[in-house]
Amino acid sequence: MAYVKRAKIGACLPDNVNTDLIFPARYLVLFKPEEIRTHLFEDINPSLAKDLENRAVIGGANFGCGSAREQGLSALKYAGVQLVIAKSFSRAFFRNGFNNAVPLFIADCPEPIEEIASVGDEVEADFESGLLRNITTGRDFQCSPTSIFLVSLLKEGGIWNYCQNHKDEMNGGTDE
Amino acid sequence: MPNMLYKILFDKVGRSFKTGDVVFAKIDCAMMHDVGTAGVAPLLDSYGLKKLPDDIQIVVILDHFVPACTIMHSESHVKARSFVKKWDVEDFYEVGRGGICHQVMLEDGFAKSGNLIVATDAHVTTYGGIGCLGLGCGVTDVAIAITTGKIWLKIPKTIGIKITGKFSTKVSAKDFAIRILKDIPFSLLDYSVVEIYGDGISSLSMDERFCLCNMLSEGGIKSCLVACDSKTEEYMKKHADGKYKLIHPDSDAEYDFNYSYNLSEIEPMIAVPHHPTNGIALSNLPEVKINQAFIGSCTNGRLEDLRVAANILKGKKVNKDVRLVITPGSQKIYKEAIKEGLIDIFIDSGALITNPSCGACIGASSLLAPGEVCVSTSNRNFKGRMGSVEASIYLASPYTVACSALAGYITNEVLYGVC
Repeated sequence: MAYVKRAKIGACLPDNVNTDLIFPARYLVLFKPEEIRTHLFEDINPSLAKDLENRAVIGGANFGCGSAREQGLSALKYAGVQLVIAKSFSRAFFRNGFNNAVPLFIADCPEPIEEIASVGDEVEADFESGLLRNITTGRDFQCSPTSIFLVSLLKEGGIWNYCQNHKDEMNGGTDE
Repeated sequence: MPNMLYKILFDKVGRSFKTGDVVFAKIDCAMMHDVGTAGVAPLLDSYGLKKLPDDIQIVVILDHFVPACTIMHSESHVKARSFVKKWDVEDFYEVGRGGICHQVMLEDGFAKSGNLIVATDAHVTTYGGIGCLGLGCGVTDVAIAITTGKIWLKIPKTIGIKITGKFSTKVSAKDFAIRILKDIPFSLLDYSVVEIYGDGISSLSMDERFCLCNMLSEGGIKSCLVACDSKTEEYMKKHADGKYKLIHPDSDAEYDFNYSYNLSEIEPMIAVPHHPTNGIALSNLPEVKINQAFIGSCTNGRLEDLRVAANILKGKKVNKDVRLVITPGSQKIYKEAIKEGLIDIFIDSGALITNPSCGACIGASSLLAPGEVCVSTSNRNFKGRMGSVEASIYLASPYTVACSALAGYITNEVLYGVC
């Protein structure tokens, strides 16, 4: 079964959106969903978080750079963000996303972010084929497919479930 | 043929692999700081873990919000202490007994050449200075690694940096790191492992190697490794008990991308707001007046950094319009700095000495007000990192920061008494 996510864009963000902008260090001690979600993007725009429920977020290159803090990812998850699209993601942020089954789509198509979608557009990302559609504008953008292992993490609900489901593979390793 | 990454991971994976493969690698050690511990604790409970594994070293170090500056932060320390008690963690560093986690991991020998360490902090790449592969992770990765003994990895592409020569005066590993972050495109650095090798290694002290591996984290790298040599061996013998394995690349080791530098050609550099990859030659920076100068952090809070600063500050006073904040990286460094008379020099110059911690670097103390400018030896100059989102942070070497503290603006000239 294909893994496809569809949502309206709630925020368009630039390159290098770092973890301090996503979730400021002063709140690092917070881990509860209801505590975390209110501080999402607080230093960009304190009222942005409440508008992102069931929405997609689109950003430029190196999204989530900086700290390995998982709250950057958790804040998006608990604020109800359904899909994050970016030109590229910082590695720790990317791992945190797939470990928690939060769909992060790499829009490595030649077109810049501004051409792909604007706030309010409805987009659909097919992770296995790499096809990103802007339903509102009718444009398609061909991006690289997400690897089988990573799609499995999304489908199975994250790394802990994956470890439970694939004990043999964990002991022997696997090739993609 | 094999490079250092391959040699380390071959041991941990137990079979051959190629770039892009997904593997599960066995970890040697997991490190958590105050913030990370509070996040890992409930996950271990939810995974149903009964006891900590015997073959993985677990280290807990309170360093981020130390001493606690709000009740919220003191509560986070309480959570970390409960974790330590519940799981009977032997290697725990209470407030006042360790310092910045990565420095403690190195000086107390938890980081060993040839090992694989996961940590709830991105600057774990620092351990590459001794040829130890450090991977910065979120709390889920660390909790999974503790529970299963393994971490999933997509074998990254590698970048080989061959170095020759040695730094000229006023140039240090920090300048070199800012130069690398400027030169190598993010698209190459992202997700890659950087290996540094060549004749130039022997001119780098261990403190310089740690600084280099720490700072390169800002390029989005998975990790960084410096080829081991006799200095590495000496460091391991002095600091670590038990097994370690000195790692160096084969003479014909292959990398996906190759760079080379003659260290003598590196100029003093500065990273301008608001990203560490915004490096420029210091000579091209227009006059920038400063309100705060900061010497510390896991990048440049080591003894050699403090010595460099003390040499410049000795017998002089910090500019009247500037506050200079100095944070030794660990209790051991603090004590050594007292013995060597460095702390006396700092206090006499009008600097503020703080306890070893992440402190000003993460905006946990000495915060910047809107419109203020700080020149800092730390690793990140993101908006809001050290206080107000309307403040500006410039990243530089300890040499440059100490000179700037005297002059009142960013410079690497000792201009005391001129302004």
